Amino acid sequence: MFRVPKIFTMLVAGTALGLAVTWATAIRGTMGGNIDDGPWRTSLHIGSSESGPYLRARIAIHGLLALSREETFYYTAARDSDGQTLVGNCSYRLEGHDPPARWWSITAYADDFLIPNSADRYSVSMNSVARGPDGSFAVTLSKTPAEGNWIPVADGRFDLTIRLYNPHASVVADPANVPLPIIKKANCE
Amino acid sequence: MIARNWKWIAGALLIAAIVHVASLLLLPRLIMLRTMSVMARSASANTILHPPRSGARSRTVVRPSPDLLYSICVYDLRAAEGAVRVSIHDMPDTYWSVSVFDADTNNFYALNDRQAKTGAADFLLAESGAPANDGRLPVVTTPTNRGIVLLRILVSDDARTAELDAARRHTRCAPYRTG
Repeated sequence: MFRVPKIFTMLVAGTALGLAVTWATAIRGTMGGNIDDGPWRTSLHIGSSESGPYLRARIAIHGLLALSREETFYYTAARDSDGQTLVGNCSYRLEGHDPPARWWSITAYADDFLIPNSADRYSVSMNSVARGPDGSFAVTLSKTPAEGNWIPVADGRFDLTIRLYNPHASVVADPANVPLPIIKKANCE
Repeated sequence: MIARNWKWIAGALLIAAIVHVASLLLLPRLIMLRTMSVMARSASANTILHPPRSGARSRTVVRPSPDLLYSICVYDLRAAEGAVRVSIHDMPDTYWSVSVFDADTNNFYALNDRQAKTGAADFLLAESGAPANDGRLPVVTTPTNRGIVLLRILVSDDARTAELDAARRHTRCAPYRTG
């Protein structure tokens, strides 16, 4: 008499558990093959057809149509150089020198999409960044407009991606020690 | 209670394992299908699209680069009844690459401007063993008969946007007929 509810419970519980494990391991889990360089993280597996099922699912969700690392290195930072989560109610300064690549850009995202702003400004790049006399640059990340190099962000969490197009051989050889900008918190509301 | 219901618990765990593996394997293909169907609203298969530069309203593909122009073609070898020809010509001096992804999201082919050297690329997409090739063009074998061709062109200077946009419109992605 209790057989039908038990079968139903088994099916529902099993399906829910299976989907929950997929969510926890593939969707929320890390890509694997991760390399950390200060606050920046890259995965050596991005764009590779040799990536396993977990990585492939995660790339499909967060990096669909990404190029292989021979073509482009992608580094992402969701925290500042002190390990604090990047949030739009704080402002930050990125400080560094040109990373070793044919071309590079730094872009801000929230929930994997570009952040709406009235200036239609989403990134700084090798061509657009203003440098000091020693070749270094500083970029402000803030909700309100800033002088000089500025990437607008909005309330809530955000993250940054550095793209290195045709990276130099040193990047491919030692991706954990690429000279990437530091991310310093300036002030918070 | 566990001892009394161990068969049901084991059954639920078995179902969980099956659902987990199936959803994991299906997820990339479902996401690609969704992406291709969104693109198909703007153009039919084997036709190249030249959307404007990405901005905050760009929601088809995650994490777009605002510094690139993307041109996209959903290839469909069945609809083409054979091969699909991708031809890129007269590209200006800037970084560009053409990459091809199968229905499981794998990037199985990529070529950039330095490798192409001539500012051009011309190749066929065909299934393994397909008779479409007449030997005139290099053939790239596709693991699945549907997928995405993506052309990236770097806009290194905003002043070049119009020039680069005009150049990418020479690109073709269309069924290839032999003879």
